[in-house]
Amino acid sequence: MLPVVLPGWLRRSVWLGLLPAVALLVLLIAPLGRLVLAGWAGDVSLPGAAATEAWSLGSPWQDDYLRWRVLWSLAQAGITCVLALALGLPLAWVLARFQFAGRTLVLRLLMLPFVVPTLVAALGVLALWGPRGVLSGWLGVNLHNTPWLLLYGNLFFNLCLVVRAGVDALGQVNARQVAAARSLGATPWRAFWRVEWPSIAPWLMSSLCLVFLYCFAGFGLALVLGGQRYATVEVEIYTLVAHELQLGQASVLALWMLLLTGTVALVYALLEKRLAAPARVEPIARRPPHGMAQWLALLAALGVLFVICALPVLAIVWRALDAGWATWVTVLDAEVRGALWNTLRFSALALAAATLLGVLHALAAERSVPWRAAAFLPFVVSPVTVAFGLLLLYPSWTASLPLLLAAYAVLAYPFVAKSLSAGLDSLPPHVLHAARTLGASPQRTFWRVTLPLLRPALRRGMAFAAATALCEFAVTLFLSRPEWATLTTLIYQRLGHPGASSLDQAMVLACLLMLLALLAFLLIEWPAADHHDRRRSPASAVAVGAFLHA
Amino acid sequence: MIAGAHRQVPWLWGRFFMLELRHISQNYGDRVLLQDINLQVAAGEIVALLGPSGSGKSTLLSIVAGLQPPLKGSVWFDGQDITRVPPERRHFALMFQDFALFAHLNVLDNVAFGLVEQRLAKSDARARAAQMLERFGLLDHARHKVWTLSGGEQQRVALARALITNPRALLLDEPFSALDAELRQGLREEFCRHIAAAGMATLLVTHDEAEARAMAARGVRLVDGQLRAAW
Repeated sequence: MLPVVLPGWLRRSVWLGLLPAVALLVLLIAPLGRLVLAGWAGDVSLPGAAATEAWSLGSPWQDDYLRWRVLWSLAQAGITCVLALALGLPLAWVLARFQFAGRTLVLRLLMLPFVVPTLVAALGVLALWGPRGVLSGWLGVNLHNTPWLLLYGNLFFNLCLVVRAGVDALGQVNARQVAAARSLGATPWRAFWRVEWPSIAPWLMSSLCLVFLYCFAGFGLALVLGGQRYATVEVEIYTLVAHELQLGQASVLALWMLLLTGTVALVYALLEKRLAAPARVEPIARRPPHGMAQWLALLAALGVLFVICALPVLAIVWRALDAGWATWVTVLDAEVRGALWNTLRFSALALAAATLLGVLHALAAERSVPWRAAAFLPFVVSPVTVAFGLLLLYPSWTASLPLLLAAYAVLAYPFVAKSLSAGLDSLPPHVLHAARTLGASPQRTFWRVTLPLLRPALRRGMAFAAATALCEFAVTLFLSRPEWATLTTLIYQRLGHPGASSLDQAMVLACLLMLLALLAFLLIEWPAADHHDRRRSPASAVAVGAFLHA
Repeated sequence: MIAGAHRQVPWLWGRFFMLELRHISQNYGDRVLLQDINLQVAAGEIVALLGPSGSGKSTLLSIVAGLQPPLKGSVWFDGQDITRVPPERRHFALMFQDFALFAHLNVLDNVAFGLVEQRLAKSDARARAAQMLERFGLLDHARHKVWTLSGGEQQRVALARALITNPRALLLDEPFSALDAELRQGLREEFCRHIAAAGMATLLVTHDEAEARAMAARGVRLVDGQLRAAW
């Protein structure tokens, strides 16, 4: 392969990766190093804070309460994986094999939960099943203080990820292999298990790794839906730092989180490595449902998707509209306007920085495998861990706006870098050669061919980065000042206030935030008519999952 | 004689070796891919380069196009050493089996691409591209995105794009291998007509001997890194 993707002056520049390298080092690796040291020592204090009891690395396993937190965090992630696979595989099969009106729209809507802020999703679940919930009141069930609220919230995000990966993977199954199996005597059921399943299983396992990571390291959902008993380790770390000032204990827990998420991320990376690029295959043709059983299967699949992935969003809209005009007027006060302004300006600044970092990182990573791996680092580490590490390393900077924005940018820029790297990889070299032989210099080829072809990837990466910045919650809680409240922190504050009117106000604010997230969603999915979006690989769904994880 | 003037004079065709490869060698890692290759292609002549997959045919074409330098040897055109001339200044046209059309541009702008690179005004480039498309019977598709065309139509767009700049040489890398047999036959004849009208030196890389014999008066085979005359 001839290296003509980038003009020589860009390829030769060793300075391209300098800025992202410094950002990663200062804002991620150094804070994590500080956290590891603190966790190893089990004793840490901040200036002005009282010294606390020293904790050893084994403490979480000796303390009943903390052991339950860690085991429950693992268990809820595992249960979500099982549920997501059990529901997601049949749904994916139906969507991949049946042709019906609105199929493309359904597939696009599967992306919607990826840009819904976790706090909004948590409110959606509460609006459905919480106290005074739409469905809990109607069905007469009370799920408050049960694990089901958290599991439902987990499924809201992750079912779509598994379905999307499944649909893409099933699209890669070779029709000729299935036909050969059928002609050799296999029933459709046997052909599925013996031919289709082995080829889609690696993709599904890869997506389940991400589901596990996301649920295990999740913060917003567990904070709102977990309650006292079913909160996860991440919530416990936040509580220990923000409310109890038990930094030693928090750092030991954070170190364990780092070890466990690192292990799962390693398994994910190994699985990804085994997944070869999909070969050109003849896909199995989709057919309209035939007969009562197939129609019922299709309706059931759409029904499950509606209940799990659409109903929470609709419930928020319903509750917000139901709150009445007076609530809408009261939430548009100076505080909300300030939060909205903060959300927009923080996101815009973070997006600008993330785009710069992401583009530089992708260009530097064009021929460097370690650089590519480095872009995954912010995906693997949970925002709570990053924020805690920053708090420990730069205690005097914790309430400074540059640090907050830099943390936003570091969490958001891998979306731009990964998307752009994938775009660079998929650039057909012959097209660039053709441009050169048609008279375009390397610089002209870059501006006239390379950049226009990369634009969809850049737009997609920037849209995910924007959604990440808009929905950021954990870092803001740790590093923000009261006057820098964003929509997410304001929603959380409103949830903390007693009374139905506060909940109504939170629902209206959630609607506002969802509108902003919807804008990002439209940016991601709307121009899907372009050439490259037609050739999605299963990896794209998994990559989307990586976006979601962050 | 003014360089390239003989292209305007049909009786001079065949008297000049417009394109010459002298002692070209190239390695792929430790493996010797091309070894002391010498080849001449005259004006208006189509020379077929045959050989199995991995024999180095496409690498040789890349060297001729200037997309990679040879390890040893030189490329000459019209009596000038062009080994160090970058591809955009050689004025050769290279065509690929995957057509290599620009997905972000429509059919008209794909064909006009090379003219814009020659600093022609965009409107003039488009007008000339429209004339070219009319010759190829593709004017109705001018505003279409390239991927909406059939394989045969895409390859005709690729040829129109290659010929519009009046290239000095045409390099064809398995141009018909992605097309079905019936379409191949029709396009082969159409290509020969257009190439003969343009009167340029043409190097056709293929592994299909029947196709090579149908298009080229002379054929050479690349075996173990060396060229042997095939007919």
